[in-house]
Order: sequence, then structure tokens, then C-alpha cells
Amino acid sequence: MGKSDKAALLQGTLDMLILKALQSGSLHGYQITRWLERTSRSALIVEEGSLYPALHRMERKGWVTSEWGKSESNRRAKYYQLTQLGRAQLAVEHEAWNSLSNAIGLIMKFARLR
Amino acid sequence: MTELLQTIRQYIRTPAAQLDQLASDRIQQEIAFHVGERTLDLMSDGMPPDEARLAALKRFGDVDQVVQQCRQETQGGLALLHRIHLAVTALLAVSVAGLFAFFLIDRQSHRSVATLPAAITSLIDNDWSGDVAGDVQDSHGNPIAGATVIVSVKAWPDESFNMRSYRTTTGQQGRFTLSGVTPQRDYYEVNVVALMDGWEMQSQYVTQTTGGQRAPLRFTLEPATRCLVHFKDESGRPLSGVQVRLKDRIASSGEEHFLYPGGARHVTLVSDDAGRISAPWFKTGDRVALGCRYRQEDWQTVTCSITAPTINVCLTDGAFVVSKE
Repeated sequence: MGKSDKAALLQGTLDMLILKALQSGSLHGYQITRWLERTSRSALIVEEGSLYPALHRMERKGWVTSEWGKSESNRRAKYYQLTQLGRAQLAVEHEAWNSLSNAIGLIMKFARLR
Repeated sequence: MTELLQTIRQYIRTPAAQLDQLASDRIQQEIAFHVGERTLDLMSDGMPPDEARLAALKRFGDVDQVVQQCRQETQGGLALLHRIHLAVTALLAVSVAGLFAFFLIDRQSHRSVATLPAAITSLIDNDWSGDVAGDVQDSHGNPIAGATVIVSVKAWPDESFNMRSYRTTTGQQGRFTLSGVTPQRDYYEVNVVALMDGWEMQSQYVTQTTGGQRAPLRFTLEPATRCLVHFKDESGRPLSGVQVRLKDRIASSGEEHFLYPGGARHVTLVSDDAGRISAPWFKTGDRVALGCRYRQEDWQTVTCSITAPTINVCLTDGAFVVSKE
């Protein structure tokens, strides 16, 4: 898939995707980027520059916590971990996303019938 | 001065600046790690290191802007709150200083409003360290111990009049001293009375035109004549409880002796059940003035000559009258 074919993330979905990435365990920022690329089979473009402000905002809100540790390459890296609050938030955002995608699906289906 | 201002500026900025710096350093470390990891991945795909580094940076975007965004997200409104806190603290400090200054000025203005009269100020400002001292002896030069000495000091500070009286007794050597009772810088007058039962009452009136210390006084007393004052009412019944105070004595030689008790504790005698008091301070031929009061009536001056061992005083229509008998 060429770069031009990749979808930019919908506004407001980045937080949900980050929370989802962290659901399986603590990750550093680059691992989150890689997880999103790999899981979406490189279909989604995560703007790396917008990942970190989002992580810091979520940390301030208490959705994630962070601690410095050693990476696989033995370098200092900052690992993020989901909190209880973050899990609840993920559930809320997941629910909202399902409603939205269902609604969009219905619209697209109705448009096709006409 | 500039250095001081700079120090103050640094002090004010320090907590916010430190927070900012710490956040920036950590975010930059985090981004450096991210770009480094991406560079390694690209290199493992066969890209030359320099090219991989540039590509990683390009993909990440504007590092400075991201750092700035992260810093704002991390701190939220903390820096602003810190500055508001500092401003409120400064405002409080200024308010406290203002209140302190206000009360100080207010207090000073009250002091100026409550300025004492010049006479009192002059009285207070003077150096009242002068002493009145002397001794009391008999005509043979023997000291008389236990004599009552009443000192009245008159002064005229700033055209006003002030008199204070003091009372003491003579010691074994017949000496007396009253310290800190006369002014050192102003004109003053002193009346000193020596009073001892069985001895004639004497006073000395001295003036001191230049202020300061004066020479000790000497009293040489002659034995007094035994004298009783007998108070009666109109019916001839004895009057007990009459209060009597010595005022002055004029000796047969014409010498005058006055007692100005002022605020000092007065020598007061009270007539007994027989209406009698002993007044052992006079000599035959003296003319004396006594202050007399029955119960709580006004004080009256009773003047009489010492011509007999007993002086009869009759209270008639509320007035004390010396009987001729």
C-alpha cells in the first residue's frame, strides 16, 4: 500500500488507539507506533509527532502512568502503562466508536440501496 | 543593584523555569529514543545511517514543536498558577507592609495629637536627680533618731506650679536623705519640716536659684512643752474622733515654721474618748495653727497660743472655737 493510500486517523481516535495499544501491557512510544502500524497492517498513518503530546495529555488525565526503563536495545526509554481510569476510558471510547461506525455503516448501506 | 534585581528575577522564575527545563529534558530524551529506534529500523532495511537518521527525523516532524506541545500538556496550567501564586504572595507582602506603615504613621500621629502640655513636658524632661539631705539633733548636738521629715519641693516648670511632698524618718545618726526629688536644671524651693514628739517642730525654707544639689540641712531642736488639746461640744462633753493636723508654728521669737504636706502622708492625730490629743511639738509662747475636722466635715483652721498646758477647743454651731478659760 502506497503512502497516499494510507488513511489519516480520524480526529479523536488517536487516544482510543493508544489506550487499546496499552491494553496488552506497558509500551514505549515507538512500540506504540509500531503496534498500530503492524495491527492495522500499515493501513493507518500515525503522525509520530502527535503521539507524544497525546501520551503526555493522557498521563496528566490519569489514564496512563509512565516510568523510565531499559529498552530491548538497552537504551533508556519511557514506558507507558494503562491505569484503571484508562481502562474505563477505553471502554467509553470503544462504545462511542462502535456507535459511530454502526451509524456510518447504516448510512453507507442505505446509500447503496438507493 | 542590577545584580540584586537579576537575583530576584531568577528567584521568582526558578520554580517555573526548573519545571520547564526538567520537562523539556525528559521529552527530548523520549523523542531522541524514538528517532533512534526508527533510524535503527530503517538501517536494518538497508538504508545508510545518515540517510536513515534524516528519514527518521523527517517522519517524526518538527521536534521543537512537539517538545513545546508535550511541555504544555505536562504542565497544564501549573506555570500560570505558579505565577499567580507569586503575584498573590507579592500582593500580600505589599499589603502587610502597607498596613504596618499605616499603623506606624497612625501611631505617630496619635502621639503628636496627644502631646503633653509644655509644663508637663518640661517637668518630665528635667533631671530630677537632686537629693535633699540633712540631720536632726538636739541643742547638745545629740542625733535625734526616728524624727519625721516632710520635704515639699516646689517648682515652676514653664510658668506653671508644681509641688510634690515626700516623707521620711531620720536614722540612728539623725540623718535623712531623700534622693531624686529636686530638679537639676531649674529654680526650685524646698520646705523641710522636722517633727519629733517631745521636741519643737521646726521647718526650713530654702531656695535654689540655679537648680542642682544643695548643702545638707541641719535641724537643732529644743525640747517642747507638754501640751494637750481638749475638744468639747457645746454642752461641755468631750469630742472624740476629732482629726488634727499641724499646719504652722510661729515661735515667740517670730520664727515661722510651716508644714506643706502636699501628697505626702500627713501626720494626723485623733482625739481620744476624753476628747484629748497630745501635741508635743510646741513651746510656751508659740502661736500655732492646727487643721481640725470632726467626722467628715470640712477642715477648719484653729489658731491658738500656747499659754497653758491644756488648750480647750469647743465645737459650737459646727465651728471650732478656742476657749478663753
